[in-house]
Amino acid sequence: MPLESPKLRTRRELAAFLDDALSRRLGADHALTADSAWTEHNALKIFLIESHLPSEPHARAAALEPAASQLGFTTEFSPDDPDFVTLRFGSSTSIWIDVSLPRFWRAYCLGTVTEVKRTIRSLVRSIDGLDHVWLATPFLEKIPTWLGASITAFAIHSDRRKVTLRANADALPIAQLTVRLWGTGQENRLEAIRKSELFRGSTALRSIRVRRGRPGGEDGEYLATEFFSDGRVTAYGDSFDRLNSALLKVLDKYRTVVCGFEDQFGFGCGRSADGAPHVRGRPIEFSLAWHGVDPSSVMRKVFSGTGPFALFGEPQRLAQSRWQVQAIDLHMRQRLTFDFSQDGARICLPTDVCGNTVVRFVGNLQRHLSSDTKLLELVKSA
Amino acid sequence: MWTHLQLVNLCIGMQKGFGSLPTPFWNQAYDLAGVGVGFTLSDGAVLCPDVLFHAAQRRRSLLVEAKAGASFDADQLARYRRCTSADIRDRAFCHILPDGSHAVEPLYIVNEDHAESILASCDRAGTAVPLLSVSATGYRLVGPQMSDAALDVELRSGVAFSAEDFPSRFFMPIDNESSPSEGIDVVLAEVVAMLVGGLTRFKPEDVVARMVSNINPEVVRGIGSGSPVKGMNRVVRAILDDVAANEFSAWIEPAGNQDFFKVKQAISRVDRQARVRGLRSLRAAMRKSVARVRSGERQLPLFGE
Repeated sequence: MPLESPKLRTRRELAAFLDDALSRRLGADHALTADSAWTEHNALKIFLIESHLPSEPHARAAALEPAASQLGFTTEFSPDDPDFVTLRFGSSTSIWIDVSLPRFWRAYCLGTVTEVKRTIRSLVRSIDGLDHVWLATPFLEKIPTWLGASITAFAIHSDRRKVTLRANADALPIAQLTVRLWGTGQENRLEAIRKSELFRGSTALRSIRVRRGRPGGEDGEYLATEFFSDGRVTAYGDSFDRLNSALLKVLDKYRTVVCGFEDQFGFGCGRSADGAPHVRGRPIEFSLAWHGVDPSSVMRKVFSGTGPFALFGEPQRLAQSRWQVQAIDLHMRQRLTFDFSQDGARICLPTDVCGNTVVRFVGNLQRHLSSDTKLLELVKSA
Repeated sequence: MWTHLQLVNLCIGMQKGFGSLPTPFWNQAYDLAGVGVGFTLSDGAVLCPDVLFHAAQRRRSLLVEAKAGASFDADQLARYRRCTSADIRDRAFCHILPDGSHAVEPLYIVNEDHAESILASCDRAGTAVPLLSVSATGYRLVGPQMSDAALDVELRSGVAFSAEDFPSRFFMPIDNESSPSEGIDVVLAEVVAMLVGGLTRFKPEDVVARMVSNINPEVVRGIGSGSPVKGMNRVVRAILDDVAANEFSAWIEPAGNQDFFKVKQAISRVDRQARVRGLRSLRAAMRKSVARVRSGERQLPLFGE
C-alpha cells in the first residue's frame, strides 16, 4: 500500500483524513475479520510522547526545529492551528503531531512500523524534554477495563541480555523469551502463564491488543488497538473519534500515575498543610528479584546512558549487596538517587524530576530483569 | 565512622523511612521542616541546625546538630539553647499553635566512637545535651533525658540495623561539610548532565544549584547563614579543578582566571553512535576520577587556598 502524506493544516483536517483512512481501509477489505487483516501497513500508528517542551508555540518551535532538521525533517508549524505540528521527511513520510495536551503529544503516521519507530526514537533521544510514554505491565493490563474492551492478543517479552554481560547470559534459566498469543479469553491465559514456574519472572507485557465491537456489527462500533510498552499504539477501526477518545482516556490514566509519583514521592522543599516550610516526599521502594543475574552487570547496563533506561551514572558499592547511584536521567537531564539491595530498590525522586523516569525505570526492569518488580506501598505520609 | 553527611541522611531516613530503618521521628509526629536551613535568633546570633524537626500538634521542635568528629563547641550549644518558640515561629517560619507552650530542644547526632568524649566536654563546660550515638550496627540515645519523653524512650532503647538499612547519601548527596572524595560522584554526574545538555560553559555555583536546589533553596539564593553556599562552592570548585586537569581534560577546562569552566566537547544529541561513544568515555573518566580521588592518590587543594 503506498504511503499517504497529504498536506494537512489543522487537527480537524487530520481527524477527517484519519477517519476517512480508517473507514476506507476497513470498507476495502471485504474479507476482514477483527484481527486477520491487521498488518503493520494498514494500521494507523500513534506514538504517545511525553513532552516538557514549552507550550508557547514559538518557544516550542525553537526547541523542536533544530533537532528535527538535523535528523532530516522539515518541520511545519500550522498558522491555522498552533497545536498542530507536521514533521515531513522527503515527499512520502509525514508525522502529524497533536500537541494540544499540556504534557502529552500524540504523533500519528501511516508509514511502516520499523521506519517510523526509528524516526520517533531518534527524535525523542535528540530533544531534551521528550520521552516515550512508558506503559508498564500493570498499566497495560488495566487498559481493557478502562476502554470497556476485551483482550484479543498479548505478547510477553523478557530480555535479560540487556542487563547482563553476553558471556553470562547463557547461564541464565531464561535469557530471552517472547510469547505472543491470539484469541479470546486471554485474561485467563496470562494468569496461567504467570503461575507457571517455567516463566517465572519473565512475564512482563510487551503489548496488549484489545477490541471493542466488530466490523459491521449491529452496534456500529469497532475499534481494535494494540498498546505497546514504549507508548506505541497501532489502531484499526471505523472511527477516528472512537480512537481519539480511547487515547485520551489512556493518557489521562497515565497522567494520574506519573503525577502521582511526583506528588506523593517528590522529595524537596514544600509547604505543609498549615503553610509552614517542610521537606516533602519519601523514598519510592520496589521489591526486586535478580533471577541469577549479577547485580553489578545490571548496574553497569542500566546506568550506561543508553536506551531503554536512558540513565547515566557510576554505581557505588556500599556493602556486599548494596549499591547507590547518583544518576542522571537523560530525558530531562536531572539527577536522582537509586539505591539497590539484595531484595529491593529505592529511588529518591527530587521534586523537579519527572515521574516518567520512575515509570520508565520500573517498566524496563520488569521487561529486562524481573516481571516481579513491584512498587511497595508504604504507610508513611508524604 | 559515619561522615557528617551520612549522619544527616540517617536523621532524614528516621523520619521519611528507608527500608527497614525505624522511624522514631515520624512515629512521634515530627515533620521534617528543613535541612541545613540557617536563621538568625532574636538576639542576633546565627543558628544553622543540620536538621529541623517540628511537631506543631505536639508543640515541639528539635534542632539536630550532626557531629562526625569529637569537637564540641559550648557556644554553639548555648545558641541552640537560646532558640525560643518565637524564633522557630518568626525566624524559621514554622507554624506554632497560639495558646500554650512550645518546647524547643537540641539533639546531637554523633559517631559512637566520639560520644564519650563529647559528653565529657559537655561536663567540663558545665552543660549537657542528649546525644544520639550511632555505631556501625545501630544507634541509641545517651546523655541527659530529652524533654520529649516519648521520643526519649524510643531512641534510648536503641536500635540495631545493618549496613543495608543505612541511607548513606540517599536523600542528600552532598553538603557543605562534604570532602571532595565524598561528593565527587554527584558533582561529576551533574557535569555530565551539562555536557549532555549542550552547555558551552558553567560555574561551580551552577553545579551546586543543581545538586541541592530541591532540598535547600537558601543555598541557591545565597541567604541564611551564608556558610553553606561558600562551603559547597569550595568543594565543587576543588573537584572541578582537579578533574579538568586529569580525567575530564578532554571535556572541560577552567576559563583562565575567570570563575567558570568552558565545555570543550559536548555529547552529540543526534548521532547515536557518537553519543554512545561519548557517554562510554565519560563513564570511564568518571570511574577513574572517583577511584583516584577516593584512594587519596592526590590531595585536592581544598584547604590550601
